[in-house]
Amino acid sequence: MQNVPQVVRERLKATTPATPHPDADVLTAFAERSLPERERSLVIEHLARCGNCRDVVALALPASEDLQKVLVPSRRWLTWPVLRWGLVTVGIVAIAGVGFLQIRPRQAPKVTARIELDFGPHQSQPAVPKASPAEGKDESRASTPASGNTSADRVQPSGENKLIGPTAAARVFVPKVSVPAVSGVAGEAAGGPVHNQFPHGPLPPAQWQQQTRTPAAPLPMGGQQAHRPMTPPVASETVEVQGAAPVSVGTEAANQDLQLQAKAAQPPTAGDALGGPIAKSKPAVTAVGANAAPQAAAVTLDSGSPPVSSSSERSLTQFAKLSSTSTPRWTVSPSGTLQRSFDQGQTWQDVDVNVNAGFAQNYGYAREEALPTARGKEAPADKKALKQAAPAIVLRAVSANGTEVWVGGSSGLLYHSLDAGGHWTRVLPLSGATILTGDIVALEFYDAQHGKVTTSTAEVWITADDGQTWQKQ
Amino acid sequence: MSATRPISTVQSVVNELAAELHARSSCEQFGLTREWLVAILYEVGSKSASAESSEAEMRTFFLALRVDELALARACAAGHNSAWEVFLTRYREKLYLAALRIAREDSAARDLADTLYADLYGTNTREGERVSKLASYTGRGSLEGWLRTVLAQEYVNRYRRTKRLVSLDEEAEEGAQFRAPDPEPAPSGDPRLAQATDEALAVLSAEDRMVLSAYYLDGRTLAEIARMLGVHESTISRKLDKLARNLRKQILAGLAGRGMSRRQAEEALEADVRDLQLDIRRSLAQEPAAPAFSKKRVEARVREGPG
Repeated sequence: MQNVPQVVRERLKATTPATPHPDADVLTAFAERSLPERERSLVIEHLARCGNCRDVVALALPASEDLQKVLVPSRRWLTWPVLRWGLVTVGIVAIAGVGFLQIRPRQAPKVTARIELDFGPHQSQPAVPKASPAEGKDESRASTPASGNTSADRVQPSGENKLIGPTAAARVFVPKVSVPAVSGVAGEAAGGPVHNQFPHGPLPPAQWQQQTRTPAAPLPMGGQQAHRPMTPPVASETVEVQGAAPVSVGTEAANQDLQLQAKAAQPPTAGDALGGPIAKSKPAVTAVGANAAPQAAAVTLDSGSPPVSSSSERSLTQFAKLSSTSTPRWTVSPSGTLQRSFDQGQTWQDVDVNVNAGFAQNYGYAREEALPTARGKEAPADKKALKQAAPAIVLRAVSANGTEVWVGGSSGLLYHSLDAGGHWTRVLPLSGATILTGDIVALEFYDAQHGKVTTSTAEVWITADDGQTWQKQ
Repeated sequence: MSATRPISTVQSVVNELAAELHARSSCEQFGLTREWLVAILYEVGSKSASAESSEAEMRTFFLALRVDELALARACAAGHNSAWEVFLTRYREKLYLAALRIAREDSAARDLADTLYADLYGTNTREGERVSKLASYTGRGSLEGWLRTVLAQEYVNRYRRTKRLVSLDEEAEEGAQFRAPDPEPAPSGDPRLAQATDEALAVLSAEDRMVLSAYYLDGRTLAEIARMLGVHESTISRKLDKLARNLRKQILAGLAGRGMSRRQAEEALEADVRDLQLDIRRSLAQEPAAPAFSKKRVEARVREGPG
């Protein structure tokens, strides 16, 4: 930013206000943009000369998220952000589309592979492979429909653990579902629904039912698993999944894990094609991690998840590489910037949490949902109109667990990344009707799910589900 | 007596909209009547109406009012306990959080919030009658916003333009020089420089000047300024860049017009202006009001002395 000559500052200071100070009501109405034009100009004229009133207006600004709700929406100013996210979404969809197209041909031959995609609405898709860890294969597949259903049932309850259910303030995850589905495989009967990245994509519904196909066709080993760790949650997908599908990923993942190992299947993958879109979606990343943690709902990205490493990982993009190679170290500089080092601390790079924060929002992660409005009502966050201006970020605490990183700072800023800092989502802990707005001074995540945030005012906030819900102590 | 015209306009508009506004206000929950609300609306309208307000403008004005919050605030001011309970439930925590954001420090924040509570509750009495600050809320902005503004005003009044500089040490680090108010006239640079600058500033719009002042004098960030004006941060960034460039050009042109050669003009602009800082404290007060010096500053001044 260019500087102005000092004399300009001097002369600016020397002006005296011509009008009397506007009272609190008018200043508030000004800040909320509900003053008629004529009055607004008068106020601005006063503000141009009166530093005290400028200070008042600046101090009285709400936290940026709230501002969206209180401001009388001005169409003019919303178009750009909307347009921007619209373009991004279109871009993502386009890339995903390309990725999908690349996958399709490869799937043709592997018709037998059954890829289950429990994608939210299709939750009930029978084939939830699993059920039989390891040995399962063919026979178990044989009873696909049946077992499918039962396992689906079985899975359901555990699915609950998964926290995908939308809770006000909970974040929305795209079901990491895909993973299980895909790997299940072995012997799955029936090529099963192709790895459909787009549930509402061009695949005919019939394909979903393919499990019924004879289990007999044992896919020689999984090869067919079209293991598409699908989680191609593309922006649009994510949106629907919101709330739906408890993607019982967790348990399935567990089973998957075993099966995966048993199989060593090569996910034909379009993994690379997936790489594109997947790289951009957090869920993908977490899905991978999910495999490693066979606990219900364990969606962590654990760098120590080598087993999963099998093919699925490989296909999964840099995330995979990340988890298998060096896990970066993290620190917060004295000036409040987040830094990471890939060489055990010899060199450090600054990491900007805001770079992709918006990205995640585009996917409907809307982790900042349900903020109470000025009138105390709960209102869903508008994905597209989230903060226009990024707040100044001063970070003070960071906690990393493999490639999962939490970092917090002033004014309750709390960011979460599942891919070692490639993408960040802003998390707003909400407990009851209180939001965490204090300066975060300490972050401790004991494991992937349990964490504790401490603020400068000695508030302690705890989460037991990796930040989806919080309780203030 | 132009006062009579607008007043009757207000009256007629209020009467016209009374039913709708009353329904919206839900003041019945506090046991308050429509007549009571009408009286308040009338008062608010007269206060804000100017002689030129047309009926249409008045109607828009009233319809844009937050009558429900207005009713709540006025009911509290009038001492209705049920209203006060609602108010506390909704706003108590927000008030504290806002105070914390403003004062940035726990004890100062509590102090601020408590003082405001006392004012709102009406512990002050004037001629025996309880006076609550809530009575001055007119519903033009949200009640929550109003509370924040009032808190900010209280804070600014107390700490007078310390802005982000909370501790004396910070101020010293930032290079501000504490000097006793200089009795001698400020060392003047070439008066033509000041004139040319004034000219250049005068042609700017109020918004431009406000942005310049907020950024260069108050030290606000681009994001803050953008939110103050309700625009996008990049708009402010572009605006400032443009202004900075143009100002320089304009001043140089102004100086040339006053007989300076190009070189002289550029030198004048680049001149070491540390001398000018002597004048800072004097010209810092844009307001004629006498600043309330905190003890710290007085001590600092004493310590620094004429040095």
